[in-house]
Amino acid sequence: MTAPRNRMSLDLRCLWRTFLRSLCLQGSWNPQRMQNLGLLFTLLPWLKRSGLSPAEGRRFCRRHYEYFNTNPYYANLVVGGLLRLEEENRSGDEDLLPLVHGFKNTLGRALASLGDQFFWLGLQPALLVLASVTALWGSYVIPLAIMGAFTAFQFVARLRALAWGYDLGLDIADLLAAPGWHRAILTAKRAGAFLTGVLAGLYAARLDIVLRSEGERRLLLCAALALGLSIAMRRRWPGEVKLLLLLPLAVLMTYL
Amino acid sequence: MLLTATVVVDPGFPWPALIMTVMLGALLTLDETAVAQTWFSQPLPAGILAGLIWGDPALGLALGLPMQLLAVGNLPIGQPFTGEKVTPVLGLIAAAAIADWQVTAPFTITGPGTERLGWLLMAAALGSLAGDRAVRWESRLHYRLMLGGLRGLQDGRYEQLERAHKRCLMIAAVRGGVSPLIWAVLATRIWLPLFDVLPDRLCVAVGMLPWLTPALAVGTLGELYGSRRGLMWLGAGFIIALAAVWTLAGGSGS
Repeated sequence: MTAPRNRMSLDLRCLWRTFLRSLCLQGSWNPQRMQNLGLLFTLLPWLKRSGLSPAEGRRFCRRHYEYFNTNPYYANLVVGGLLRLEEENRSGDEDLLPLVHGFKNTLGRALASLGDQFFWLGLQPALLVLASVTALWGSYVIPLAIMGAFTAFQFVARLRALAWGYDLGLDIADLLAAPGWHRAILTAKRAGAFLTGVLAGLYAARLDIVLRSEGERRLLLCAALALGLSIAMRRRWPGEVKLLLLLPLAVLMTYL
Repeated sequence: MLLTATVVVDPGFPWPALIMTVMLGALLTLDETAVAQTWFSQPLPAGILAGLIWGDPALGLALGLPMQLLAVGNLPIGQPFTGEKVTPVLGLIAAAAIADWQVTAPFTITGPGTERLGWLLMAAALGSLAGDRAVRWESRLHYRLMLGGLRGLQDGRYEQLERAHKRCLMIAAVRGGVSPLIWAVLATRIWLPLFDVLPDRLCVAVGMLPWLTPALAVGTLGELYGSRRGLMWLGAGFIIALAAVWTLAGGSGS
């Protein structure tokens, strides 16, 4: 475990440059090694000012050129931790390099899983449904404000995660056991489910209005078919394909 | 050439809006996966921003909202995002604004305005599926550039790595800038004129499509939150929303 909890020598300029580069971690995403080049691109400001010899620098690059994948919003915890490990390795007596590979992969996978649960299955659907519900009322300012708020939140969180990862080093692993992660995931998912219900309610109300004013029973039938199709096909097919599949059904409905 | 032909006809062509759309396309394509991932590249905010550029945010919202509802269950769990929604949305909004196409707000009424919106939505869906192939091709190109960077490393040149990464970003930005232009030209030249020759029944069916997107979204998300507790929260939201709407509308549903 890393004993001291103080900042070592990651100056503000290096921190800031690493943070900016970390925003494009996925810029060179590829199916084989995923975020490897992005990670190395993020770590290069530290390498340039580290004073490592060219041979050590090459070894550094090779270490971080392997497969790497994690959730982009949590990635800075890994980046900060890696910088700490590299720095301690450079300045300390202990050889920490054998730990780098395991640290990167284990933490990367754990954070990818937490990120999937919190961001992709919780927060993103919840915020996008919220934005859609407000847009349903004709507001185009509120959806933009929601995205703006999320942007500000995630930028601050990513910057703090970088400093946090650097401060904690190997002890980040202890952080993963905190119950707060699971509380946040549960809250985001519940909010998403509740807002999906709100969307369904507003949709039903709109259908009711059209049914009363225009007598469009075909639309009601089509909507029921769309709902059934969507549930039956689960998330295996993208929404575009489902929509295009519904066109022949909608044509058939015009004969009713 | 096609673009030149489209543009030269009208001396008052809105060049600034088109250039801003290209820039927005580049920025939002970068945002989608490569840089920051702020979610401004989701179809709804992207559509609103494009609408603002063309002076008609309602048009942007009209296309962006149903596309957003189609995309809401598209999550990168165990796979990358499917489809490429941003640039077709931007290109089609530009085309609709240039052609002065009047569409109605989604989920309000049925009729010609909704049919035109449905026709735009179909084009955006097809464009998204076509764009998906370009995105996959681009990731394979990233791999080749990454290997190039690795060869540079053997020669002891770190800057080759940086260059490889920056090239990947540049490719995404160029794709994002060029694609809306292509969709806009294809729409103004082919897709929008086709609407006038559609058979009546197909027109009516196309008009139903925007109305079906909330059902698709609710079905997808219902499956996502399908646990007993999740369904309880979903049911609570449904009842509260219906109660609120009927209370606000004086119980008449009007």
